[in-house]
Amino acid sequence: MANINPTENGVVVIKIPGNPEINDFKDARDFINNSQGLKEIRLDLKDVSFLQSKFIAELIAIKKLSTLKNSKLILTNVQEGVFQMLEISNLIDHFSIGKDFRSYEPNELIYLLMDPELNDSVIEFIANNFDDTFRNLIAEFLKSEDPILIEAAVMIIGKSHSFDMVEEVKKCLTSPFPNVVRGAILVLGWFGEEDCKGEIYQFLKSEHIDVAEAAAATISLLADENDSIAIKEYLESPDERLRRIAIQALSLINDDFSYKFLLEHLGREKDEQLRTQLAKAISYYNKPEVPGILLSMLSENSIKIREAAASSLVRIKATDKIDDILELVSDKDVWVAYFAVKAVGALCKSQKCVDVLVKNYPKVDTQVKIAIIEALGNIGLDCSEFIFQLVEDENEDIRKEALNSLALINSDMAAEAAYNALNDKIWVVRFKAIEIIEDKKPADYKDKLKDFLKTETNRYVREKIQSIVGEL
Amino acid sequence: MFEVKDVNGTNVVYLKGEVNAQTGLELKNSVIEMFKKTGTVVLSFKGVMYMNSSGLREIIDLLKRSKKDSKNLRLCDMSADIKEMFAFTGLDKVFKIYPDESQALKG
Repeated sequence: MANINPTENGVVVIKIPGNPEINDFKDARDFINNSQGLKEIRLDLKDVSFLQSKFIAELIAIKKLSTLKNSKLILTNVQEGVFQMLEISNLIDHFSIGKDFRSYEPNELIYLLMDPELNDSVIEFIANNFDDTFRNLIAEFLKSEDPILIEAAVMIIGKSHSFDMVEEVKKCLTSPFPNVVRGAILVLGWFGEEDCKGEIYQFLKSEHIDVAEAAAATISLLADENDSIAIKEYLESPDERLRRIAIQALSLINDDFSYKFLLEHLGREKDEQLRTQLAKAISYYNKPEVPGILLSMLSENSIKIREAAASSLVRIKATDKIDDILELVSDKDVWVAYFAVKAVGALCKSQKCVDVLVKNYPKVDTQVKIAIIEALGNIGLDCSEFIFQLVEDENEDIRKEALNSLALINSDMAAEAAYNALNDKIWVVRFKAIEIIEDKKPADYKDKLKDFLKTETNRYVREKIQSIVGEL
Repeated sequence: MFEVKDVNGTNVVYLKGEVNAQTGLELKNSVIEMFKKTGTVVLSFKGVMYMNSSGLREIIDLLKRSKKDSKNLRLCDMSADIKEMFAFTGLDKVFKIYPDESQALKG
């Protein structure tokens, strides 16, 4: 017999037995039919390993009924056999499928922990529902010799904030398993266990990079004025992974010492990835010279470094450097100009920026042109006449971007341009035009789209229109 | 430093500028006060430009307090760089972090 448990907030859990009968599904349907205000129905199939086709028909009936009642239906804890049955029947896309760990006994959860795809969710579930039963369970985990279970126990202690079990976590620092040591180091950082910092330092030299990274993170989380000096030595390591970790840790500590060390290192570091990281790390210091340093990094050879410098300038809202950035818009190096335009679009709201971008537009590479159109849309000041003419440009990427920016600046003009663009020979431009029409909703737009649908041949454009006019 | 808005009965705290020891402590004390009257608070990181470990420690402490009192602390709108900071320390697995405010409000 189906076990029906209405819970709070309009959610009902209906558990189907291992050897279901038609009546189990009928009971479920009757309950749903007679209930008012059900928001969510969770049909628990944990014990069902296979479904005959007659039961599939029942599932479809429950789906229809839940749709009729405006309730969300979720099939939970679906076993492989049932999943395959739904796939074969082409029904898989019609059902929401999820996990509900409440249906599992603690000892059953152990098996789910072993599944790499479920491990994090099970830990989260146990941590959120931590009680004496789970306390006993993780005590067993800690006594086991399985590194996955011990690590899970440590993470559950950390995530459930079970400070009374901190001694168990400290013991795990001597575990032979790197994953357990890593977990213990992180949890001790979350718990603010400053007395463990000295012991954690040794793990910076661990051969396992994950352990070294956790150690650096926890030391920086527990840092005082002496820790930057201790971590600095790892900036000199020949191992670039250790240098990366040191940069992250120093940036998080964020004191005057760490700033000085990172600046010195910026003068020496050659690795592209690490210089990219340095751009981000230095941007986290609230120092007056930082925007200037980032500005100079916009002209580095690496595109990645330029991108990091540009996005950091945007994050720290370096509006006082806008004149310097505007000068780079006409740089002969395409990528310098490109990232300068990106930064202007995100930082500037003034007419002066619009004028500089429009003036430079004819002189720059296509890629920069597209960035300028996007930036003009982001700035939002009216330059719709300029953008309107670009909707007929010979380059489809420009036409598409122009439609997008016009929509941000001038609704009426965007709708007009979008209708014109429905005849564009490139489908992505037509698709963008339809998105704009859907957003702006000009008069009789559904009727016009229905007319247009008669001649449209592209599948994606057709589906988009059908979804808007309700014919899907 | 931060602004607070009531969005359909839930307090959303918009952090601004720098999260350090001082601003983090003020934030923590303010949210603890809010938790006396409400069960859920959302912290929006959209306006955060700088954050250090001292500020992060205050937010961890706030989470500990909220858990102890069975309150919900949700974080949202983190830039990729701030998210990286949480991931570095493993805290991305400890906090409830949502991509944006609307999802944080839904929970």
